[in-house]
Amino acid sequence: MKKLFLLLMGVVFFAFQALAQRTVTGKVTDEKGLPIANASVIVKGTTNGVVTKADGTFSITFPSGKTLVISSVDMTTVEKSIGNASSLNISMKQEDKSLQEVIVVGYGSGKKQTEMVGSVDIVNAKKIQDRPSANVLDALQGQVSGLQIFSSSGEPSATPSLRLNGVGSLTAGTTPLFVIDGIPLSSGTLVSMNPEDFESVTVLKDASATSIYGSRAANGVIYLTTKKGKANAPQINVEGQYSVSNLTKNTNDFFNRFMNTQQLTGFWKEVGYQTQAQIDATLATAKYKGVDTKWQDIYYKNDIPAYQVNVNMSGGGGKTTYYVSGGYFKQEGLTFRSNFKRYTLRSNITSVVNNWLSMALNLSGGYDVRQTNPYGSNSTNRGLGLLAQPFWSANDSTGKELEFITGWGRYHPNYLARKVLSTSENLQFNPTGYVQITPIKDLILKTQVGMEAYDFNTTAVQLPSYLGSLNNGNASESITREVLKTITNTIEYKFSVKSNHGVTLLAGQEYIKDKLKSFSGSSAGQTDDRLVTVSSGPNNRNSSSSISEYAFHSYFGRINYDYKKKYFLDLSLRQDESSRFGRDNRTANFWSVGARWNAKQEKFLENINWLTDLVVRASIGTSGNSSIGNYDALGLVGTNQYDGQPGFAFNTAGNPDLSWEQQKLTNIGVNFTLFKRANFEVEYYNKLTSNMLLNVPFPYTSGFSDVQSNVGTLKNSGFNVTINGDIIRKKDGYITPYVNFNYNKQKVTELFQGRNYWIIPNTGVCWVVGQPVSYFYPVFDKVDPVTGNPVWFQPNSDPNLIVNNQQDPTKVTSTFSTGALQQNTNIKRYAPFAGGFGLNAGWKGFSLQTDFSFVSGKYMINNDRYFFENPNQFPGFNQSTTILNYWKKAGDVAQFPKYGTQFTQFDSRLIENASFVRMKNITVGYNVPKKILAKTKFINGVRAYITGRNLLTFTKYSGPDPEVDTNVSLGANPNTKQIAFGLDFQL
Amino acid sequence: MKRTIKFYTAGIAIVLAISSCKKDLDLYPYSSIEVTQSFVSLKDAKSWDIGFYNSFRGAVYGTNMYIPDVQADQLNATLDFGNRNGNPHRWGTSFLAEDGALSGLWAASYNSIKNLNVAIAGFENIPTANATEKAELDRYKGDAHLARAYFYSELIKRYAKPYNPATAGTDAGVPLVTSFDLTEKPSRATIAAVYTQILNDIAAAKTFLVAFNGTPGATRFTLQSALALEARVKLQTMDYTGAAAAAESVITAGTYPLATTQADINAMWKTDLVKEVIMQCFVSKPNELPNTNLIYLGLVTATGKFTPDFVPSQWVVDKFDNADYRKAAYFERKLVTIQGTDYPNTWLVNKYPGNPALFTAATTNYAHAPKVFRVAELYLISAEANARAGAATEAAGLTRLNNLRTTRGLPALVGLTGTSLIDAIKDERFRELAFEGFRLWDLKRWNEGFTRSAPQNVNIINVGSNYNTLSVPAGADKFTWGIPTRDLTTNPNLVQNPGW
Repeated sequence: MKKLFLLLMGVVFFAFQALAQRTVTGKVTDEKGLPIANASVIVKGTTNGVVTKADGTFSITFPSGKTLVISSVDMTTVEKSIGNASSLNISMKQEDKSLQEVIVVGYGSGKKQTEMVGSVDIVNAKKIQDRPSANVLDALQGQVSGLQIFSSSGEPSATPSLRLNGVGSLTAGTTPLFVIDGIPLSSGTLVSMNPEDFESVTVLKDASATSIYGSRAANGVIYLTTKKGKANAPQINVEGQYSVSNLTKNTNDFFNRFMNTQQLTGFWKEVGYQTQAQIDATLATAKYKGVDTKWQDIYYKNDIPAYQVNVNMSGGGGKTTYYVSGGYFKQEGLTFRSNFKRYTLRSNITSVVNNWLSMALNLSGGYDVRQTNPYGSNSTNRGLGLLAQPFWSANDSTGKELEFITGWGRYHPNYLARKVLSTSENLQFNPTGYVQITPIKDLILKTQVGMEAYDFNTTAVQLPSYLGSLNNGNASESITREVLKTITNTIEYKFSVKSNHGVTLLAGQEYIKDKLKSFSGSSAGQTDDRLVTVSSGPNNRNSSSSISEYAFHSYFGRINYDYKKKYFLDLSLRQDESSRFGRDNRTANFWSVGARWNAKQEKFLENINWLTDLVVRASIGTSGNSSIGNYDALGLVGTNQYDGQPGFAFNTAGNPDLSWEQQKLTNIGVNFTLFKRANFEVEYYNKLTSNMLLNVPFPYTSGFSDVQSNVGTLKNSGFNVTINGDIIRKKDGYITPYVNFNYNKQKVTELFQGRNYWIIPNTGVCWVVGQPVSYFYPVFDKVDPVTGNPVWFQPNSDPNLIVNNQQDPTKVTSTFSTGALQQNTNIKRYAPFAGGFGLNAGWKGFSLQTDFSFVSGKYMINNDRYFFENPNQFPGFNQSTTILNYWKKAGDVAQFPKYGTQFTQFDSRLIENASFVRMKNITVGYNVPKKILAKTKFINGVRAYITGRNLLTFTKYSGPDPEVDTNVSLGANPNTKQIAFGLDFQL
Repeated sequence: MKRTIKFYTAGIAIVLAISSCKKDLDLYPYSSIEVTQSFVSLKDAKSWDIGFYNSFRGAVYGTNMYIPDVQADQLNATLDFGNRNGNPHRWGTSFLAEDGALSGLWAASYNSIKNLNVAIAGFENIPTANATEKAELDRYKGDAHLARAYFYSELIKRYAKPYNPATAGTDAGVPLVTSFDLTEKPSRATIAAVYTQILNDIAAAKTFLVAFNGTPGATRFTLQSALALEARVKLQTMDYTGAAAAAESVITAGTYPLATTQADINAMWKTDLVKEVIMQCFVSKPNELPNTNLIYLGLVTATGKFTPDFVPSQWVVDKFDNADYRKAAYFERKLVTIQGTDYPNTWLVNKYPGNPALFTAATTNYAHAPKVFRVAELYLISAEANARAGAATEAAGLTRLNNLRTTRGLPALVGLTGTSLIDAIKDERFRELAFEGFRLWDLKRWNEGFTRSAPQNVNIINVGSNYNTLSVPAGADKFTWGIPTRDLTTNPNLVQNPGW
């Protein structure tokens, strides 16, 4: 690194050149002839420039050059050849923003959207701002075709899961690579960043765009760009928001299905589980007076407020721009001990230092404090808390909240939250910066360095006053530090041949190193609630630590060629090496070829007026997936302890042949615009994954359960469609609806050990050659109306053929066995169809924005029902009212079998359609007219708005939340809904 | 020209900068070493040896011990048991080959066996400089062989039919893996072959450990541990003479006197008195805590009441005479709360109340030193083996039975022979080894069925023909555990046991 720095200094120092000087003066005006102040006038190919005065005039002195580049805020950049003129008048036009934005993706200096060969989708700041959610990803849901985003939890600090164009790997990671201002970042970091700081989020979808990211790009790349200041356009924004959270309607519906005392005890008596005398005795103990406890009111809170305040200032003068922001966000979850509080700061500075050097430094810092409710899954302290019988009370006879709920036999969740604490603090630091030098015209040398660093600290305390261990508390303190360093050196050269052939060459080198280090200490025996540090505990002192590292080293290159800005061709290459793979398998090469045809520019289309634009794109290329453990290639002996001495155990089998998962991606897309109003984008992709990184199962007798290996192939193919347009586009108003969707077809094409299928134990999920990842479960037929027994279909008797669903009414059984009855249900694990729709509308000062996200064909095993509809397995606990529909006598056609048999088994009944349509956002805003504000001479803009998040959900799913992204949902902490009110001031 | 030179310099510098980063791709973990580097010195051998004990401690007590007891006839599931361990308790269609109880022990055992196999092979490459070092290495070898014998003895007891001398040479045992090969897909060795391997390992252990005589409460294997395992295994294989001989060689040495007072027997289970313990696992808090048997008490710390998962049937408690020291040591009447209702004076299994010295919080964590071999078991093995070996040794068997009875506060029995002697020994095993994971396998070995009966209070337990009135005929299929489904799938050479 040090050597590199010296090198750069050297290049910088000797790049000076001295030549003869000349001066040109001129005036810059807009379309109406009015002068434009503060426009930048630069000699093309240099960094030599001036700024126009208030009257639009300028005077520039330069040694050489043929062209001036004039740019100004919101204006289309003009290039004017100087010739021999000493005075120039330049007229600028209003910029058509959507077309001219420069997209920086995949190294180098970026391209205009009209010249992008790769398939990219951009979500801009407008969509991101003012959401009552801490995570920028929440706002992306339903915005980009092919990008499925699910929030699996109502925790305010949760990070949604993402996948692009289907699930491309079976056991390695499937999260896209995140890059922020050129530096990789983990998706978990986004919650620590202020969504208001993002200018745009660009999703890179095809090989032409992603292959240059090589071995980490197989799941797609999401490129985040933070805001920059605009020279001479100072802006101060102050934004405040207050919101209130509640459970969604479908969550409440789920809770309201539980039985009340009368129903529950009635059921007990009816089935002979308890006699009336026993019930009376219990109710007497419970002091039950007819008031049923609705336990969701105990385990969940309502009307919980949240706040956020953001202030940012941006602008710039001369050759330097800045964007500085500060944010505060505070939100509580609806469960106890669930909250998130975040402070963020960002400072983005870019500067053109002199005519051959420019630089930028973005500093992003954040501090957040978070608590998450730990009682999910099968904990009866929340996740399964609704098993509590309704006749018990969470309060004593005076109405005071109990600490320990007698009868139910659990602590009050509020008591637990007060006595058993766990608070995490995250200190986040993400600096990125670059130095760019232009030693000769159109040659750019750039060194970019960046870091993702955090300290994550968790303090857990069980207070000595906690009744679970009275006068004997415990405490633990753990700290994790991760530092991901990236250094990228690129050299880029642009030239054109005979002005028709544009060429950009890029070469680069990159090194990435990550180190994760953690330490924790704990103690017990604290006796005083005021003294609860680790050092206050005299007993059980314990500590542990770990370190884990990985590194990547890469070379890459790219050629962009265009002919008359009409035909474009991109070639890219990358070579990666990673520490994660076997010593002899470290190097892999990736490539891509992409082309774009701006067809509308052809003569024969020029006069077809209804066709406003037509673009055809195609690309093919490879990328890799390396999302596995850091040391999976090595056969490792770990340590343990006996009698105070360290011992050995052979814990990781290792695989010296371990290498990349390869992906070959082909995309063909067409974009067209009709009648200047409606834009269509249709894209077909075909994604072939080979050498899949898979935890291949081994018999336990080998001593290992699975070994990470490169086996098998997987195919994903499908369509992405995006349509948007203007229904109304008038001076005073507009209505712009949009819809996007993706259809993905997944097919496992090869497995391991010659198998045609592999059932992943205890998941209900199976990989089947020739089919998408599917649910394999016993298939329920019916409750036999004659006997009241449950009946399941027998699978094909040939175990090799259970991949074929068999529902033969003559081949059934009432004997349950997962092993013997599981077969292909033909239900896909991953939803094939998803997207979003919505609209933006405005009239005068009012605006309406609404965004829906939908997914179809999403199925999930509703494991909650195994607990809540199973009176034989969970006798004595409360159950869902659905169980009352059980078989009682011959002839009954019932949902559940006769009492005494198990009501619910892990079978196809639990696999529920969790497809949903969710209104992610509805915002009604009002901009106070400038006329009124002008009088203040200080406020430039005021926007008031009301936003709703998750206000509507349409689903057939009977569990608490259909959005949970899992195969088996149990005790989910459901997504919540928010109504927010906000005010944005522009000063 | 000058500029060109600078760019060349720059180019060279770039190459240097890049190559200086390159070595950083060889990254190794900080808390593990490569297995290929782990048999270099005697110190490594010691670390492997320590590692065996660690996994051994993980393989005893806890679910490994109580699941068979839950499956057997002495316990009833309370209304608050929350279906924990419900599948083995209900037998039938609840208890299936994919059950975690089956795969858990199977996987853990073969995981330990893998370490032992790697080490037994690796120890051969470890140089020793002198006799002292050789003796040290021999001890580690002995430990490895004995641990392997232990794991196979537990596997064969569970996953194969009871030993039958007539058919053992063809009956399917368990896969016999004695060297590490990740890709091996072993078929099931015969029961005879597995026992031969176990006895060979015990013989090897006895040779290597010959100089290591035990003292009460040893936390390492000793010669006496090897003999205790030999006695246990030979009782299984109906080698009664061999079983008795192995047991007697430990008993007669007198190193492990039986506890003779109520106080000592209480102390054995409550504060880890080591008097009659041939081997127990080392435990200490907070890092070296054992698996725990926490299904029997379920102390609700907030109220001081108990909500157990399983309670003993009344007939089980009644099987203990009031004079029997073990009754007070193994059971206690407690205030139980089930489904919110209090039931005072309910008998609970109190054999594992937790040693206060190991508590990590204000109340019990149910931890104590897991007892692997107790001399009392050897008295019972000697008694049963002698009683079964023939009329000539019946008297010796009765003597050992009475040795045990009298130390437990019971009168000696006189004149018992034949079946009545055997029955008395069975009853004594029932009492002495109650809730130590022996009952189910004894029933299997004796080819006896059972019917659960006489619960303490039907209001607090789950009732029905798969709970408190469950009846299992002798030789029922599920006395022999099923081969875990996952191994059947991944290893086509395995054949499932009948009934699974």
